[in-house]
Amino acid sequence: MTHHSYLELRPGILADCTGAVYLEDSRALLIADAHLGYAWAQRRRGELGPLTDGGIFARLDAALQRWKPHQLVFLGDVVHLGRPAPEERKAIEQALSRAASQAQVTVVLGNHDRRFARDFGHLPVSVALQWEDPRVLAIHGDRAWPDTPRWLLMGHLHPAIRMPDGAGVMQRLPVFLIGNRALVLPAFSPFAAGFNLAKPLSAEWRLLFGGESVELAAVTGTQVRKLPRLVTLRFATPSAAAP
Amino acid sequence: MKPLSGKPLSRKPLSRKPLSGEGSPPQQARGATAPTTVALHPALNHWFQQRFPAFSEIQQRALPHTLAGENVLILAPTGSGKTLAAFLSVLSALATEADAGTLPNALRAVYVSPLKALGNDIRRNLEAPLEALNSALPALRRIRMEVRTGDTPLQARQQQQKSRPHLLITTPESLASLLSQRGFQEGLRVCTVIVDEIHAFAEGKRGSMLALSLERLELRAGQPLQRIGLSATAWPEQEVARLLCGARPCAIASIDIRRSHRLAVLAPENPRTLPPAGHNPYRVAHLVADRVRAANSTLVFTITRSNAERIGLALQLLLPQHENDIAVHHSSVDLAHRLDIEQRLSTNQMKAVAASASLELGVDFSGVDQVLLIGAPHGISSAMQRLGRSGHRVDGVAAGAIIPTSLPDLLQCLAVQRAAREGRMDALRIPSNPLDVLAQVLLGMSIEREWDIAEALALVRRAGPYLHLPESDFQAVLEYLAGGGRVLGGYGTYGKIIVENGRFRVASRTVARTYYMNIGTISDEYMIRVMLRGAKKLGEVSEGFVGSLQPGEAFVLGGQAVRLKQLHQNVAIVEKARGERIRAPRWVGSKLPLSIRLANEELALRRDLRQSWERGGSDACAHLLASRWEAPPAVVQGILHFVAHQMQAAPIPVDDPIQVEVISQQRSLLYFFHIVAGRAVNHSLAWVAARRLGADGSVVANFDDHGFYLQMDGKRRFPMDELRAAFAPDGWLETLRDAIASSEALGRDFRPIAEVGQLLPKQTTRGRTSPKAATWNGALLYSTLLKYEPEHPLMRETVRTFLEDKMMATVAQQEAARVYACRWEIYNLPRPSPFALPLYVAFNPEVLMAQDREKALDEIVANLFDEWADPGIPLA
Repeated sequence: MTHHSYLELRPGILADCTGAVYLEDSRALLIADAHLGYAWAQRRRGELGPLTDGGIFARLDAALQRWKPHQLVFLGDVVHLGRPAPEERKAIEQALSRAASQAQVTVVLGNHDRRFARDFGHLPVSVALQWEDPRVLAIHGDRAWPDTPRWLLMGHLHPAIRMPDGAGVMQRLPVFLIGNRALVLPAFSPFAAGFNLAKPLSAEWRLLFGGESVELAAVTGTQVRKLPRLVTLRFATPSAAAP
Repeated sequence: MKPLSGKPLSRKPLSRKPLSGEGSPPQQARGATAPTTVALHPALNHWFQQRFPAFSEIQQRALPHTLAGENVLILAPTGSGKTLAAFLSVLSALATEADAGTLPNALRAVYVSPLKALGNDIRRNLEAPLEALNSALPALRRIRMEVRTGDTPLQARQQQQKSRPHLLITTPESLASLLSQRGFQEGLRVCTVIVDEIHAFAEGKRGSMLALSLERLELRAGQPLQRIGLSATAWPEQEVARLLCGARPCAIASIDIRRSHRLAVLAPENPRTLPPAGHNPYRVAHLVADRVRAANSTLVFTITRSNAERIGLALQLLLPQHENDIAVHHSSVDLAHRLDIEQRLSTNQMKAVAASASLELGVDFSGVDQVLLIGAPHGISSAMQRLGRSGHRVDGVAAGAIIPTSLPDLLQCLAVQRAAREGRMDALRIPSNPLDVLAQVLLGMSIEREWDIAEALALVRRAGPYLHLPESDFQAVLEYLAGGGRVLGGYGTYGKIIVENGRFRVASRTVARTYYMNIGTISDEYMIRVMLRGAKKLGEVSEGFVGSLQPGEAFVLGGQAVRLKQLHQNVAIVEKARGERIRAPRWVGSKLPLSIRLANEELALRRDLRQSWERGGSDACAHLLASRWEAPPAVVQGILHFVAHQMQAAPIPVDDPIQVEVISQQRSLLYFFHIVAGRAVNHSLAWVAARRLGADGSVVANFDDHGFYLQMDGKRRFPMDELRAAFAPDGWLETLRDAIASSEALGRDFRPIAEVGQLLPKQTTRGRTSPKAATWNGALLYSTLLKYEPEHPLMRETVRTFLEDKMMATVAQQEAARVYACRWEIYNLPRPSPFALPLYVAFNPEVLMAQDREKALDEIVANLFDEWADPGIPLA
């Protein structure tokens, strides 16, 4: 393993360069916002983009190889859209079956997974609304957040930062958003545009990240690095009546 | 209103004269008939003779062609009667058919204009002659005229399908939509098409789309389509004719531009009023205000939207008595507000309107008696076009003045003036084989009916922009539309068309519905609506600009100073500002490069000046400027002031020898190349040179219209032959291509092409795609395709657009070879010479970081300039 391929966030809680989190005690690998089948889903919407998986299945396999977890947990939005097309269904089934042959797979349902049980319920994966071990409580993050003394691990936000790349273009980098109460994982999908953390978050996020400075760790697929500075997030003021 | 006019009966401006029944009574007009009138339908002839004493010059030239059914390009200034020249033959033919009772329930003639407003004006003006023709006809045989644009209500459209207009007034987008509709299939029997303001289509992809639509129209009618193009300025004529007619013959009827336009240059009396660099219009605001005060109604054109706001604000402050009659008009101002301004302009109720390109096209405003252009225009044609918006004509001449905003601007203004006087126009650059438009049109065709592939290819290749389309490109676009492509391969997965047995057709009705929502080639940037408290919409500004504002900060939009109160997702709530420091918003939008024609003109001026200075110094230059270049005294003084400073540093830079300034700063070294070739060419030159000298990014390049510089670490002084090799023609284009292909710089340019090419429809049957929606992000999609399918037709189109349309790679390649072969003169200077200052300060970090860039730039440039002052020359 190369030097920056993972980062210890807390003892035994490791951030992987793909955006996954590995929990040493439970031997569990957590992945948020995989949005499998994204390219097909966009075609069904009428967009004629390339039919590619963007390398996500290979990344999933590589992460499983690297950590050899006993459990694989998808923190919501495992698929992008319900009612998959035949090729889409085939690709997702293959990937999930392959994963299930190597680890016990749990799918925490996200807002994109409303039809997951109906579409993929026949696969050997368990479906839940949250997952926990003695130290963390893992959810997708689209519903009300539970009040817990444990570290809250979640997805849904697709946190990212934008950096100039030297050619005069802004580059997007997915990041781990690391707070005292909660950890937000970056989207595992290569197609997530990402929420730019330079912009104000909607007001309710104050509950999780208000009144503290947070750390960010950027992932590139081969490296994960903490940003040198702590960041104070901005929050939108609850708006008055819109015009 | 766009008036249709012949030769004026009176000396009053002819442009606003209504053509309706109660117009001026016939005067001794009989007998003035040109020989061609005999060919007009008698009722039309009668109507014409009641209103006009004779055919105007352009009508005399154009009518023999239009009446003979020939293709013709009619080039004449606004107000010369060219629109009527085009319509007379159309109306005459319709009247003849109506008389004979053979007018079918089908379209016979189509008028296409770039602006909806223009179409409405044309309809209003055609009502009188049509009335004259129809009054003698029984109700069932009358000629029908209708407007059809994006604004036409559904009910009216459905009515048009049943009772079809014989003369349709429309836009390219609505025409494309019409061509695919089943309800119109047998109703398209068009004999003649009139394309107005054809220059406005020529350089963009709208023109490519229109050219393909004309071929579809012709094929549908089953007979040759007569094509009539109209423009005030369109050159080279043959290129424009090819856009209109493809390889078919096309006659040209024109009036010499030299006789129809007159342009002066105005400068402040004191040359020190003008800064040595920058585009800040405040310095000339007093001069502009004086001119505005003296005239009845003034149109003030600026290069940028920001400057329109600035000058509008300045005029309101300087002319408080007219505050309510001074407005700002540009494409980010709310549409209703813009229409109101246009209405008030045409009814003579505005003292002044400051505008950017948004008022450049279309009709003249009769009340406007003065046009001022602030800042040297980047092209000659657009300057001429802007002059034409004034309704004031002396002997048919559109006159106006340019006011430079800086000393170097003076040279560019003189160059524009001279080119206009000599009738040298900018060459329009018409894109060839744009594949995104091809994809959109092929999809439209597949909805119209099933096509044989060879038949469709033949049709496409009859259109001017696609005369030499490679078959492989055509096939690649079909394959892409069919959902194929290399990645995970194979046809048929959610493709938009189905290709089978050498034929293609649309895949589903959903695809067709989505297509209708996404016709067109104009891509929006994502804008934030700006609402005044109390729910009045002011206009739109870019997301980036609003993001840079703090609540409470003030800016100006549509001439109103406002303060940001709240920012919601797509809406900024503002209130009127009082007394705060006010910023002018910036809008995304790349500046047009200096035209090649203008660059050559400016080089000629520089060469003249250099020679005169060498011969007789300041006096010889003054004489040259006043005589050969016809510069007024204030302009002469300004240029002398500028040149005298330059001579303290180095000679006036020209094209041969190439002047290179080497400037050593604390830790870096600057090689400054004076190349007057426009920013696109200089961008290419600088990019390739920087990449060749330092592929690791250690050499930084910046450029503008008049040169570029390479900046590097102070320790890396290149030997001159190594520097020269950076322009070597061998592999030059390949280096540029590599630089583009390997970088992600094109991600931003990809989105509009993906939208035109229907890869990312802006709207789907599920609603409008919002930037927030989880959808393909342009840059991500670009990098995905770059990785998995770099040969995708829309990827190649992105590269082509960037290389040819934006970087002018072919021209730049020739320029690189010239730079490589030419003699260089090297000057080691302690600071940039005055001619180099505008570029140097534009990228000066102190300026870029400053809170108020304009102010910082002004200060820095003034100091640097003054250091070049010649103690022997008293400063004015």
